[in-house]
Amino acid sequence: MPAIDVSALGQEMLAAAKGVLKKRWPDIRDYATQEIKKIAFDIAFIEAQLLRKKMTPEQAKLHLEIQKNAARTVLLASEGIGLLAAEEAINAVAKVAGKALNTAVGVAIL
Amino acid sequence: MNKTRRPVAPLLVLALGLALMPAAACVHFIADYDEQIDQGINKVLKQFQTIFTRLDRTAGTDGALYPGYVRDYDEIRTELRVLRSRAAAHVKNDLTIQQIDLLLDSQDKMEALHKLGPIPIEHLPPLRRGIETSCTAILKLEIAKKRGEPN
Repeated sequence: MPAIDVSALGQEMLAAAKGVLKKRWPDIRDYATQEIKKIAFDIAFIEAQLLRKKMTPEQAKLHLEIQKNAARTVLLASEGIGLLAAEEAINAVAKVAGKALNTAVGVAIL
Repeated sequence: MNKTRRPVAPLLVLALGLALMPAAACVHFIADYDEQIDQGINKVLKQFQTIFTRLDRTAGTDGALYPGYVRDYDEIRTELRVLRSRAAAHVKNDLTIQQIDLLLDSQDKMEALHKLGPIPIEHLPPLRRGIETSCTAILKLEIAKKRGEPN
């Protein structure tokens, strides 16, 4: 029965995790950056309108709350996508470990 | 005795623990995809866009006054509350529930703005973008829950 090469298995498991996380990171980073930039632009617009007295403080406050809610919603989406990436990484690692175990014991347990 | 054999017991225990997880029950940190929530938020976004299109077209006229939009706001609020209930029926769906709560709050704020008087046409774009961004974020997360399944 072949012994499990600890180092090689560790590398393989790590590669499985990294592959998933690396794949997802640009998704979160680019999406969150793009959305937050739009929100920042609109907040600057609200401020400009307020300073020019084209918007009352009450109106500005309501507009600002909507923008803040939008930012929070984007961050919640990013958090969720990050969790899904972690989940995928853990399941990928478990699959590698399971496969290695099946090979080591010579029987398909899983 | 084979002195070159590396100790693998700790790793075997770990691997065994991981491998004995039933193949069908992978780790899940978030609820599964729900097509009803996906379609429901799309419907809500369409309802908001209808309001914005009307406000654009009727800016500066009585057609932009709040009383003419109460029914539209009520329909959106009802739809969002139903979606919230649906989201709450899933386990591990807190993020989506929080997102829907924020959209409900944004709708309250938009109505409060509208009640103050007709929304000036130049104030519509940031308002529309704020609502669109919120709806898109909810959809983004929901679609991501498909976990690599084909659309």
